[in-house]
Order: sequence, then C-alpha cells, then structure tokens
Amino acid sequence: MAKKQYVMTVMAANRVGILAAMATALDELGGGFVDLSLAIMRDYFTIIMAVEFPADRHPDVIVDHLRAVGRPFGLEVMLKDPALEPPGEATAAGEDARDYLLRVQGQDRPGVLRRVSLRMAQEGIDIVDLYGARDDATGRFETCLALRVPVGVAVSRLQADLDQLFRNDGVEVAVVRNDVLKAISDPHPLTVSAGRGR
Amino acid sequence: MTQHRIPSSLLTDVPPLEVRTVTLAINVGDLAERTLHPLCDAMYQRVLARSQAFVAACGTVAADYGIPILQRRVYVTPLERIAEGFGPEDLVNIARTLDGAAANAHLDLIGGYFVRAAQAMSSTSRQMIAALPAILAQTDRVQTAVEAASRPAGVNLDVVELLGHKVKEAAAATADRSGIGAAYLGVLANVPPDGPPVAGSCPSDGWGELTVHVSVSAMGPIQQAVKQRLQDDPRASLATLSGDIKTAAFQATRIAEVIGRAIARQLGADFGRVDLSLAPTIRSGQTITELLQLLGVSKFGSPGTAAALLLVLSSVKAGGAFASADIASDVSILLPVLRDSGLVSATEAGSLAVEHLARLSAVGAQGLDLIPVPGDTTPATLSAVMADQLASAVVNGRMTVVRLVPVPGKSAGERVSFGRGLGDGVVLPLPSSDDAALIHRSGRIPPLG
Repeated sequence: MAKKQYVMTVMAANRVGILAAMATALDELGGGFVDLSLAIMRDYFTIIMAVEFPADRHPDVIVDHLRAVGRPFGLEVMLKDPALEPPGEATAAGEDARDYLLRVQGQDRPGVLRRVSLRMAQEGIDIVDLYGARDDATGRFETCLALRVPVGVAVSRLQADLDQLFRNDGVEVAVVRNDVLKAISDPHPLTVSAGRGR
Repeated sequence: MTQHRIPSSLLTDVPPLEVRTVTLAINVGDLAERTLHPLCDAMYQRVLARSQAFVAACGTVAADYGIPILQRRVYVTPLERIAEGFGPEDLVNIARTLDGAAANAHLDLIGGYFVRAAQAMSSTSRQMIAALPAILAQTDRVQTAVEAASRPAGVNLDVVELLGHKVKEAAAATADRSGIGAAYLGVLANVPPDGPPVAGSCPSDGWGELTVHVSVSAMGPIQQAVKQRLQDDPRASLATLSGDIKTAAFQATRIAEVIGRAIARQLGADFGRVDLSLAPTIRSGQTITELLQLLGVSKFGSPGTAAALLLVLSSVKAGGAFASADIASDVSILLPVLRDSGLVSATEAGSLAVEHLARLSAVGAQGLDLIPVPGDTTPATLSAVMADQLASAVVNGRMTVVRLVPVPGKSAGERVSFGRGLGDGVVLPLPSSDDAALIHRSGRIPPLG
C-alpha cells in the first residue's frame, strides 16, 4: 500500500511512558517512525519526527488519535505535510558548499544569536544544526551551529568579522571546517588520495 | 535521514589553528643556459610564475579553511650545479634574480643558495662562498647557507675559517642596517636529505619538480593546553603534561598537513614533509620562554632549562609522529634569539648567555641561531665558536645551525634593532679566543669513528 510521510512534533511535561503511548498510537494507525530526534528541555519532553502512514489515512484522524491515546500525558501534537509547503529559496548543496562548525561562547547577553545568524544569512550560509546551553549559575553560554557554507565565501574574513562584531562583548567565536575538526580529533590516519598533490 | 552534525569534540576547546610556514620547493636544475642573462631570465620567469601561483594558493586555502599561514617561503634546488663556471659577480646577479622574484611574488624568504662543503670545497663552492658578502648586502630575502660539517665527514675547518671572514664581511657590508646581512648566512651541519627546509637548505636531490613542505605551529596550542591543565590541576604530573603537549602537537601537525596537502593539490605539486620543529611565531607570547615558565622554569637558561626542553621535544616528537606519516626526520627546538622576544628578555635579564645556548643543542636546540655579538669580534673567534658548535653536531648527529651577527660598532650589552622580520635584541658577549692557531690550521677534523 502507498505510504505518505509527515513531519510531527509532540510536546508534554516529561513522564515515564510517553514514547510508549505514542508508539502504540502509531501502530494502531498502521504508521511508524522514520526518523526522529528527542530532547528533554527543562523537564519538558519534546520530539520531532518524520512519520509515515498509509496514504489514505487523513491527517486529522492521526492527530485526534494521538491526542486521545496521549490524554493522560497531555500531549500537544502538531502534524505537517512537507509536500504542501511552498518551495523555499534553494540552499547550496553538494559540491557547491562545505561543512563548517561555528562555536560561540561567552557571557550571555541579548542578541548574540541574532547577530550571528543574521551574518550567516547575509552570506547565504545554511544553518543545518544547532545546539545551545547556558549555565544559569555563571551566566556563560555556549552555542554550536553546523553550517553549509557556499564555495567562494572567505571563511577567514567571516571569522574576522565575527571577532570584530563581538570584540567588546566577551564573546568568543570560532569557525572550524569539519574536515579540520575531524583531522585534529580523530586518531585515525588522514585519508590521502594517491597521485599528484597526495 | 537527519544527521546530527555537531560532534561532541567541538564542545571541548578548539586549539588556536594556524600554520607557521609553507615552503614551496621548485626544481631549477634543468635550466641549462650557460650564459648569465638568459639563465637569470629563465630562472626569474620560472620562480616568479610558480611563486605567484603558490602565494595565490596559500591565500585561497587560508581563506577557505579560515586558518592563517604565517610565512610563505620558496626554495629552489641548490644552485651549486647551476652555478658551475660562473664567477662571484655572476653569482650575485643570480641571487639578485631570486630576490627580485621573491619580492615580486611577496614571499617572506627565498632559499637555495646552498653550498655543501662538509668534506671539501669545489671551485664552485669557493666562488659561491666568495660571493656571499655582496649577495647578503644586495638582497633582502635571500637566505644563504653553507654546510660545513656532518657526522660522516667531520668538521671542515677550511670552510669554517673562511666563513668567519665572510660573516664579518657581510656584517660590515650592511653596517648601515646593524649588520643584518650576517643574519642571512647560516652555517649548517648534518643537513638531512628529507628536510625540514631550514635556514637556506631544503631537500632537493631525489625530490620532484614542485614540492610543498609545511612547518607546524605548535607553540600556541601547547601553551594553551598546558595553561588549561595547570588551571584545572596545578599539581599535574609530568606524564599528564607530556600527554597534553603530545595532543597539542598532534593537532597542530594535523592542521599543517591538511593545509599543506590542500595547497599541493591546488598547485599539482607533491606533498613533501611536515616539519615538527618548535619555533617562535610572529604572535606575541608564542615563545619557548613562556612555555618553560608554565612548566616551572621561571628564567630561560637557568638550571632546569635543558630538562624542560627535553620534556617538550620528546612529547612534540611523539605527538607529531603519530599524527602524520610524512614528518621530517629532524625535529628540533629552534631558538632564534632575534626572532624570539622571550629569549631576548632572558638575555637582558642575564639568565641566558651564548654558553647556555651552545649547551642546549644536546637536548635538541638547533644550535646558535640569530645571535647578535659584538662588532669587534674577530673572524677567528667567530670561526672558533662555529667550530665548537659544529663539533657537537658531529658527535650528536643532529641538524645544527649557526647564525652569528657581529653588529658593527656595538659592544656587549648594547641594544640593537633590526627590521625585516627580525626583532630587537641585546648584543651578547662572546668569549674571545686570543689564540686562533687552531682555526688557521688548514684541513678537516675527522669524524668520530
């Protein structure tokens, strides 16, 4: 039978058994998880996942059934059909972009992430993953962004601009290419192609 | 499939990332012109074209990776064979040709004016040595070198005696610039066939047309690692500190190799060797004296210095060797006094003298490098100091450099200031040898069995 994929988010105060209830509901609908990512944030259970269901299953039925099964947990469910989204601006991919990691750390202050992400947007850089945490006791924060940087963007200049941007804020910024990070943190030998310029 | 792209290793500290030097070795051995002007023309064109492509590649790779390259050098294959049949004046023109190409391409240094004379001098090497003072006076970027001793050959005192005079003449010819010419003449021993490219010598025979070598910039990462460790654990053991130095050296080596290979790929060149030698950089604070302070030797040159250097050197070598299959066989600690503000301060404070530096070669320091000495030092004394250092090299088999700068008109304790990549310094006293009879005896000191 034809399958259809949706993107779904579920939130609830964290308790034992949430995932079990969700998995049961999906099973009953003839659906299943494709891909998922879970985070417990301030004791709040949050999950985002790609799920698939038989193509004739109506989205409202899916959401209603999940809410019903998850009533004891107070699940908040949201379901989206990616096929219905308007096409966005194409982002650089494949040979036209390279992977970098950007780490920002220092004393927390408003607007740091705004200024960083604005600068990324100006360069056409796609942010593909993000992690951030703040130590409430010291007020220090740390954010890591995974970047897809289009070929031709001078990363050294980007780094210099970001240094300049936060010079007086006690915020440190480091941009590292993924293959460099791998080379300095992985004990396995560098993979070196044969021939000229080995 | 969604991927988590942030590895946990980024959540720990990223060391300072940079590359100390990238060196392009260019083969010019096939330039067969036997008349001066066509030869200079051909050499200029080749060196310039390749250097420009090289500097451009360094720029793109550095921008792309966001990793600075602190120095760019070019070495041509040793000129000894090309120089055959040319007189000193012609040789000056050849050296000026190299200097012009280097200036035009914005290189920091060009080498290749290198004479091998550990066994004996050919007529060409005599001519090349005779031309040295004029070359050093008339060029800005040419680093010259003479190998005057080696483990299998012993010490060639004929050359050493001659070089005492040439160093003095080079300083005199550049008296208006504090004798800087002498700083660009390296007297070497045990130049290894596989590099690293150092003080004017570069691997050549048995290498290809175009080769990219890199030098690791490990001082910053090592200092950061040691500092961090001591913050967390002020009583950290030597084993722990050695492990931290190894890790930092590993990371610095990996960065250098990644960058060097990327540049080689762009140029279609071979990738050569990674030079692990620990050296000061142009960045302030990146000096061996600060590292030793962290390790617990407060004054460089005071007791404990040699022991600490051994700890650093052995750890760097182990970390670097694990990081890359292509490390240069000789790993040293470079102590170029005029390029290292920390060493200059140690000489000012009186904890460091020429004798200390000479002794440290036993634990991997690379000889007596860029030391300003009194202007009235006699050629025989200069030769005797060189001979002593070369003699140690014959025994320990390590690559050794002697670059003494007799500063015209200055005596011990006076300040001197150089431009052109060298810093300020204080003229160091040199014990004089009144009786120069040994130096004037011609011949060679045989090797040690």
